[in-house]
Amino acid sequence: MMSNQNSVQSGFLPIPSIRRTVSPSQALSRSLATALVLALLIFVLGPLVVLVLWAFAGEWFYPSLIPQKFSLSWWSTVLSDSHFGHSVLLSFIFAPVVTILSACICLPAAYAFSRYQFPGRRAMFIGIFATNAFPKMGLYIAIAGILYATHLMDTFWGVIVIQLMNTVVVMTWIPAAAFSAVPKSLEEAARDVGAGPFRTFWHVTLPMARPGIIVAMIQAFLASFDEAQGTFLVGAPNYITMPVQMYSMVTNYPQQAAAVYSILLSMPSLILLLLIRKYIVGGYLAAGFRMK
Amino acid sequence: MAELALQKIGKGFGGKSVIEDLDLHVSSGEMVCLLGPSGSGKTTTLRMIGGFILPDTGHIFIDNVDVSQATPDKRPTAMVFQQYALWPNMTVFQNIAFGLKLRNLPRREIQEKVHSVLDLVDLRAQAKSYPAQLSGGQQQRVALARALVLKPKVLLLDEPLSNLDAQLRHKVRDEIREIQQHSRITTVFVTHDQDEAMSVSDRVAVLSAGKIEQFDTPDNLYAYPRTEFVANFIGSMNMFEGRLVNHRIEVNGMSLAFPSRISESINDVKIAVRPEDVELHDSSPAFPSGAIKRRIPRGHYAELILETAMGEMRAFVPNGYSVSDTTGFSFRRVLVYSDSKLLDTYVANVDLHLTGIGGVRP
Repeated sequence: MMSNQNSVQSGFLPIPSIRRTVSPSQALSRSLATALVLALLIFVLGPLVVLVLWAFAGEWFYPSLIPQKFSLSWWSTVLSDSHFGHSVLLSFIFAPVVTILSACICLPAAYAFSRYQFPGRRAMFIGIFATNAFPKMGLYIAIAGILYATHLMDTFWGVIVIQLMNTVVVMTWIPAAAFSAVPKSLEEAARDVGAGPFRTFWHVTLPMARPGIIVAMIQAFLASFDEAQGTFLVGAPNYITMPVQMYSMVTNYPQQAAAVYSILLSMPSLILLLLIRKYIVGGYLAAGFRMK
Repeated sequence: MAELALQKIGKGFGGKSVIEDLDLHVSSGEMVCLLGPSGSGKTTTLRMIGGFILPDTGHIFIDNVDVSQATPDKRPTAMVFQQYALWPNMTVFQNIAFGLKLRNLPRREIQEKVHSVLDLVDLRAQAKSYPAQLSGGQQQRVALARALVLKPKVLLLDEPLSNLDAQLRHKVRDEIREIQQHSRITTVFVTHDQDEAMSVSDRVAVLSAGKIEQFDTPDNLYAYPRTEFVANFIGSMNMFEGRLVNHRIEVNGMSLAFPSRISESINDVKIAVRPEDVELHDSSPAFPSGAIKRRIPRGHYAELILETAMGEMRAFVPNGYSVSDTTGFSFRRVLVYSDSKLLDTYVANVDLHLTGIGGVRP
């Protein structure tokens, strides 16, 4: 590329002199690319490494590059604390309940979006994205007003409602794409041999759309599991989930405790993401955003 | 064994009429083909028989039971889909057994039925395979088996051979016909391939623009195409525009004389001649002449393209027939169309005499 441009611009120069400039510039761009990749790696993994170091640090003072003392004491502190235990329990109750409710509400909608033509279909399909298009806090405060009026503030179901908000887009878009990918003739063939609409869905459509639905459910689980802002607004002071607890950890405890806690918080996400890795590679996430 | 009757069926999509006032009567055990170009409504008609599309007007009867508004699961029909539509998450056995399981048959009976239909389509060894592991021809036979195992009253085939390569197509075509003959199941078959339609059907319904142009046996369809559309659509046909005056047809100054069956004068008629009905003679004043533009070898015969005063003309001649640059010609058989309808047919030496002023144009 470079050599072509040069030769066009300086057509009268003897060719060998142009050639000589080529390999250094290529070497430069290569080393630049390597440097960028390294920088990106440090940018992404660096904080994680520091986090792990903090979690096992007994003492770590400036200017030392690694902790002076390693210790497991903060692990036992965090794991034995009843507040923290309660948060973990709450998180593992809310996330599955939200995921299942979200599936019950959104999967039929996803099926309707993919299989039926109705007035306002496209507007509604895009409109679902509105829940992600505005700053979350503004949306939550408006919803909090409604929850106050309906006496749902600081209640279990209030937290469920606010967490459902975050799951609607993935739980509708990804399964809608998965349903659309099931050829209509396969459903027709099931109807043809005598299956009614429900059995057709159960025996043909659902098994074929299952990978997309699994991806969506895990995404929804993680969205609920990691949600802090809305849960804090609606659930405090009685419903403090793990990510909400993180806030007070950061301000009220030494850095080591927060590090231990954030590692605990990351574990489910990491495990689930590893489990669904093959589906994500399969393009189900991207497909959701290509639906017309 | 069941009778199928479509009565004044009409269907439109988005205000545009696709099928209008369509009547079709299929006798018990008959194999009927719906043949037409794309957009002629043949697939829509088939899907209405299967219940995948409900007609706007008219009625569909199977053994005198009105099923017009029944969904596919409530109809005694079974369809073989164009893309086969086998369920990829089920094995061959499960695909075929699914409909039987829905009917809550005992396990033993399901197994017996599935195995006997697998024998019929010669796929017993593939029972445990998944559709993706089968060849196109095998998938096609699984789809057929899945339809047959339910002993439907009417079997529907939607272009079942279009996804097979040419050699396999002939084989599967004959297999389907054999199975149909064997079980005497009333069958409706959709295709755009006339060769396919003519070779397996008892009767063929030729559709154009949502209407049945002609519903007839393959032989009659070829020999007596009742409309200009059918004449052009089935086989190869030479068409010439002309005039009917004084018991003669004039085409570009050449005239065809025939006995006075039609007395009135009609300003625009079309005469149609099959290429095999163009007879070649040695150049002589007795016959009009034409120039041979091209010879296309067709294997056991040759196709000639002649330039004549009537216009360009195709002729099928035997191999080994030596042709010179100019040749005389006559017609063995002529069909006359007026207002797109067949008016009359004429056979050479009985009532047809061709004279002309011109042979080759300078």
